[in-house]
Amino acid sequence: MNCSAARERAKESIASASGLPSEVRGHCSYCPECQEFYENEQNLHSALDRALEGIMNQVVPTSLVPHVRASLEALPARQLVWIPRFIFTATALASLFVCVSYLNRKPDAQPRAVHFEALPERDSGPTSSALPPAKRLAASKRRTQERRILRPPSDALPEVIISAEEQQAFARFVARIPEEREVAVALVSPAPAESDAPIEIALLDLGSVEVKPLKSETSE
Amino acid sequence: MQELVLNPPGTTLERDATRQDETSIREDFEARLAECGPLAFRVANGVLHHPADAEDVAQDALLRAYRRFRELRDPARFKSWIVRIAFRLALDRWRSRKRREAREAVWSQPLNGATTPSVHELAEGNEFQARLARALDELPEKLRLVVILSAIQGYTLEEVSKLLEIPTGTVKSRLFFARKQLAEKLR
Repeated sequence: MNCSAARERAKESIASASGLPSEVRGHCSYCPECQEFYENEQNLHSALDRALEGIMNQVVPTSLVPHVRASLEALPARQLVWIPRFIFTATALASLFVCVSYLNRKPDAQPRAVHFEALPERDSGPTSSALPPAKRLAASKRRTQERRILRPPSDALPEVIISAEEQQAFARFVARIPEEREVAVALVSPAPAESDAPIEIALLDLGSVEVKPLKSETSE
Repeated sequence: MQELVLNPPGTTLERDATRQDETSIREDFEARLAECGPLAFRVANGVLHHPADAEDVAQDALLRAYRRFRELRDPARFKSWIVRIAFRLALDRWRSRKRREAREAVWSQPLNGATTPSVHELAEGNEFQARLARALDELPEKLRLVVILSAIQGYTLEEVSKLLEIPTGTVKSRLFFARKQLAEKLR
């Protein structure tokens, strides 16, 4: 065994706190340098152990346990019990608040109330009570139809701004449609299929032509 | 004939039961305090090498342990639990101290790279211990904890292995590597 191997083995045996192997002991018996190395290493480790023990086994301050006891006394008695309950309650309240705020926002999605101006009375004639029942019925039907037309569009449809005058005029026009059937038929009847056909011009059929000479009324 | 009385929650009976429960927990904890308080202090001091800081850390560790004491399923593991809490807290404090020292060193000695011994080390007047403390600081955490616990009087390798919940062979090998590294740094 050479010196470097013996020193390495000696270091390991001291570090592991086991006895020196017989081979190393044999080497050290005839090698004074390795013997000295071994002794130095042993001294180093024993100093190390002593220093470690000195650091680790310092006197514990007498104030440690009383301070801990005082801190325990200062702790609120029911703290450990109510903290989890408080956390649960806070979470429940927070989720409730979120739900309520969400529900409060929901009505915005519903159609908003649109205020239209009251439709002025088209007929400034006698009051409805003075009219005969048939006319009264017709007038009420017409008014209902006008109101239906003036109903605000839902939010799903794109908003088109129509002035109040135009709306009223259109309502009046639609209400008159039953009275003017020709116009209604013309509006709803489809266009002729052969609209693109060439127009035929019929020949002018003249029965008899009488030619009269021009007569001057004043003779020169 | 016995009368059956139903008590709503939060009444005197429940409060009394809670108070009794807390009292028994506190008594149980205080019974362990006498043994575990010094252990927590020594572990913290092994990391910090500063008795005042170690006392603070030990107090903090014990209070934290008390706050979580009712969550501890196996009371037999209380000691290893407190060791781990104290070690972690001491490491946190040691790291923040190192950062603070590094900042102060940058401002006070920008040209001098070598570290000078602290006031505590100078007052102690033991150069070897100061070197050993620095060498300990450089050890990996696992090795450091094994060295600290095995150096505490009264703790055998088997007890250290129980405290750390690792096999005795692992404790031995960690201790071997730790001693070897320390000797290399102190040589």
